[in-house]
Amino acid sequence: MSDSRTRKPARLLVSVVATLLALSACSAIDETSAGNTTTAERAAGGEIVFGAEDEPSGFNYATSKDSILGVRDVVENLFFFAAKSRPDGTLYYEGLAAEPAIVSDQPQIVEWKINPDSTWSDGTPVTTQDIKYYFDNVTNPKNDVASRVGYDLISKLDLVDAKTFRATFRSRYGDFRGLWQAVPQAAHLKSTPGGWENGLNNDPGPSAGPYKFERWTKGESITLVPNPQWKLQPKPTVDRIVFRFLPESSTIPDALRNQEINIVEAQAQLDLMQDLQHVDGLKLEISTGPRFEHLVLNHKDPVVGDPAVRKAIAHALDRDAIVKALVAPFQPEAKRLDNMVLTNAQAPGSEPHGEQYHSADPEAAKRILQYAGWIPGPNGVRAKSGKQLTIQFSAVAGNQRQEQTLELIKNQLSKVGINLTIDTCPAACLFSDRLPAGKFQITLKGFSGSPFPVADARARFGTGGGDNYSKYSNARFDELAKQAAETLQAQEQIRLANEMDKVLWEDLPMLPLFQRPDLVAYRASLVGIEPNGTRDGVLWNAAGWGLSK
Amino acid sequence: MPEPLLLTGAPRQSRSQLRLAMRRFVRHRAAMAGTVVLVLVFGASLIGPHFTPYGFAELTEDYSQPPSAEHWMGTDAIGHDLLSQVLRASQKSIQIALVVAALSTFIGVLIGTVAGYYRGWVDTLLSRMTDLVLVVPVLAVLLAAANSISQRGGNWFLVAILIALFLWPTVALVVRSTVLSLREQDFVQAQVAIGASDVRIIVKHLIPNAVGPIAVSATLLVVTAILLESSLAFLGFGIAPPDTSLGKLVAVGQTASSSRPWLFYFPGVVLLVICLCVNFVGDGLRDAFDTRRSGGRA
Amino acid sequence: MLRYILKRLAASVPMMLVASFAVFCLVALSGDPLARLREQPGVSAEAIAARSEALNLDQPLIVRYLGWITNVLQGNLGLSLDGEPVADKLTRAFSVTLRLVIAAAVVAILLAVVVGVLSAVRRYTVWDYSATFAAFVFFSMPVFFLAGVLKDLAIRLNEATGHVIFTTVGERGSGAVTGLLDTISDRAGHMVLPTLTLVLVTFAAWSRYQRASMLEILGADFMRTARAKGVPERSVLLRHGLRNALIPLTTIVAVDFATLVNGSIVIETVYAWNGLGRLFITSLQQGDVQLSTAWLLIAAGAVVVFNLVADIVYALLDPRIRHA
Repeated sequence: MSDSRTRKPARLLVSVVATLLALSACSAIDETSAGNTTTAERAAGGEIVFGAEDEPSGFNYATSKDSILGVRDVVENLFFFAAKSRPDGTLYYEGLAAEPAIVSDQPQIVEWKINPDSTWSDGTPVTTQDIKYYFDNVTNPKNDVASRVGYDLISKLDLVDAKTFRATFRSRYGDFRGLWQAVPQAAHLKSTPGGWENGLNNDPGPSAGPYKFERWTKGESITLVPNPQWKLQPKPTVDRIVFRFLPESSTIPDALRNQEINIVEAQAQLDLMQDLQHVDGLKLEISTGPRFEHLVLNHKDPVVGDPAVRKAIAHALDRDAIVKALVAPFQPEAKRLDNMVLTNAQAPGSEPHGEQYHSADPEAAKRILQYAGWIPGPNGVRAKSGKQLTIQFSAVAGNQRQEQTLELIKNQLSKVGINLTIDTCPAACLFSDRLPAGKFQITLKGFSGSPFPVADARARFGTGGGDNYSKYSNARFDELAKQAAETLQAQEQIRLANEMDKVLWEDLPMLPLFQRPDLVAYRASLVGIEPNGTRDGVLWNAAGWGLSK
Repeated sequence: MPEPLLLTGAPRQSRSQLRLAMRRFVRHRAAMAGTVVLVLVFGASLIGPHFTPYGFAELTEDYSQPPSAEHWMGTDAIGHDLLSQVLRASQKSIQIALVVAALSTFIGVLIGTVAGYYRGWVDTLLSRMTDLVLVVPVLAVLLAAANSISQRGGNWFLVAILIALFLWPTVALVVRSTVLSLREQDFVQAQVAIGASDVRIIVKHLIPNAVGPIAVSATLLVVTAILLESSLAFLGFGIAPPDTSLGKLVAVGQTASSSRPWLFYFPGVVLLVICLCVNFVGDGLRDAFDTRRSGGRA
Repeated sequence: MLRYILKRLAASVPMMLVASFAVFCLVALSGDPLARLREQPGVSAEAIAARSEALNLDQPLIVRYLGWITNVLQGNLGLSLDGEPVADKLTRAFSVTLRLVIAAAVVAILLAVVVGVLSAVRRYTVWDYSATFAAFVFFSMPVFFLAGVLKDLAIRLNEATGHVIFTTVGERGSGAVTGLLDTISDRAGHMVLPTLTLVLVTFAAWSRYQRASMLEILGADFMRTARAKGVPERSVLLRHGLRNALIPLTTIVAVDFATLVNGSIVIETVYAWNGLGRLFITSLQQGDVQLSTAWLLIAAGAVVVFNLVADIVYALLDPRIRHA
């Protein structure tokens, strides 16, 4: 449960590694870009049941109310998307006739052409009116909108014709290719009571994707059926896809074992993997992307705010041992993560930093603490002027994966005389109260990577950033981040991103542990499944899913 | 000043009753077996940790090992020795249960005797209060309260107190009805007549004579408390790590029932055995004191 | 009789009011209804302040309570976090839980009566001892453990036979079920395991009550009189014995409603049923204050009603009570 919460905001942001790669690779428009399956491998008909963690609250993914993973997964195959990411991070332009074109550089003007074949399931074409309505609402300050990133830089939106539109940017915006995601039909929203915020609460309206909405049995499942108006390849062959809600992740192994769901996407974790490896007829695929697990160190805290304590923690922490215990058993190639900005270590340009912390060095940790005046006490716990070096570790109550990490860390830190006490509270309380308010010392968190590392890093480490839970502030970092955000040059952005990371390793607002592996588990009878570590998730190519012949 | 013979009669009689009850209890085979097993389990949970080669929070290099000579109950995914964890968890579960039983019995006895002894509006008020707490769907309210407590950094002791706050009514009801009938008896009336203080009458004469029903309902509370605490832990609202309780171990082990059955079945069976034994003891006490209440669960 | 019912009803009104205030405070102190909004990076402070004002969060607790209880008395339970009326959510979940609880209660009562009476009639036989032992095991059994064990056994059986005989997820299948017969078999198939779990943990205690009251009746004077009059043994047992021995059980069953609620919370979690229990847990985890408060209020109300029913049934069956 906590995982969906931590993953949620980041998946909203739209895709920089992807964009950067797209810039260099200059991807061509490709009709069969969504996956590799052909109709030949798939039997006609059948049903696929997808085990979904969250039940949608409505379908307007742009609103904060509905911007949860559970909604994204469903609308992925329903609404208009200008671009989606392939598993390798490159973009393909499903909803467009061509890649968006930069018409002018100063000011930046970009032109999009909607695919002439893009049609809503009620038979009307997808037009610039849909785009305009979406834009007007996202930028309307009165509306409940989860993120306006990018849209807030557009000073003018021109509708050239029914299928072509241009946006003029106030300042340069390198990530424009990721705009126009999950756009619902304007005509439907306008005619529905409830409008932008509540108009899609029960029904997403017409679909522009390979599937269309059929039924929502509240509390239980959502059913999608093939959209006859879908003109692109691949075309769905199954009769329906059912999203079966399983909020208790503990029911996943048995549900797969008992064939009550066919496919599930979840965070790969030790116990789940061991339980699933035991189930016959199941395929397990692990992928890593920019998602990562880390410790947040509160810079405003009197104890953890002390650089000596942070450095000692970093030295004492044996991150390799954590990876070896928690991830390596099912993903032998897993490694610790040494970059806080370019968190997808496999992507070109991500350099490891923080060399002094690569291997655990308890002696160095002890030296630093000793020097800073923390002297070992009789019970092994260090103390300074009568105050014990006891740090509270806030964690989500009842989250077993977290508890395992916690125990490992507690063990490692105790060896240098740092005493961790573990304080648990419900996810809602930790993520919406304690973290934003800075009422914690150390906590464990996952950030899901958006493919925009620089934008993410600004939110996470920039002064006053929305995800800056450690309340970190460094003028040099802010300056580097600003430069990186404004450059349109991919190589330069990567260079600056690495510079930003070096600054972070000096100050340690967080300690990255490892890239978080994602699991797609599915019945071997399914074909066409391709895990996708980007924000689009495994459902990106659901049009090509089917049952094997 | 020596007390008149007549007035000392009652306590002595209750002492002999106690001896009689004791004899009956010892003859109750299930109850004795339950007592023995309970003592063993509790003893093991207290002494065992000093003899097991691993601490309950210690991480060994053996990951997800089935039971072996090295690890009698196997290990979990990060190398905890399950036997050490089960011992620790039993200790915590029993501790919580005893705190709950003691506290709620205390509250229950207090309210029950006061209501039964003073009658009138005091009784009406206290009985209404008892009824109110009695109708609460305990698990649901505890969940809400535990949710609230855990946001304020609560620990297991607070959880125990919380559980106790909802379990005393059964004791109060039993004690009240016993006191109501006792206070009409001659030896109590005689005390009233010589002007003994209320506190003295309650403490020296009423409570000792109600010890049977109190013991029986306190025993049943132990089971209720263990079940409630473990249900809370199972639903994710329990004890904080690295500490553990039996409900939590079962919750963690439930997904492993096919891949690593030891993680699910060992803690579950231990939990079951503890509850079963306490129930047997309760049954034995009921027979021994010949109280006519039948058993029930919370 | 009517006067008795009215008297009891009147007594439960202040009780409900006190309970509603307690419930409101309990939840108000535990959750933040705006938690989810605060978590979103794109939501402005003004938007949060506006929402906070709309929900009266800036007012003192007592003012908020009065506003809330007024709404509740007018039948308005408020909106859940996702904008759906709380009442709709509760109604939907209620029908699911009701199916579980009623089915389980019916089966458990039948089982308890049969086992209890047989144990009493054949007291101190092997049957009696095994029934007693089984009863002890089941009412010492933590519900979640029993549910997990049954689930594991059922899946092992499924795997052994190669067919999905028992389902373990949800209260109904996810596929397009058409036709009345299919629907019934689908629902019934999903009910087997959860119902069995609830039956086993509840019937155990009830069978003990039944055994005890049957034993009491067996020794009663009127039974001896009936036998002396030459009424056949079978008829003595059923017509005179059982009929009177059922009275205590009726009330116990009604009073034990809270037990069923407790049980269903756990069972719905294990079997992923979308009933009241799961709804409540989810509402707590998500900090859905309106929903948890309403849930607790309804639950307290239901318990009060069931206790009332128990009293009335008892009064109907046993006229002595009415005048006490």
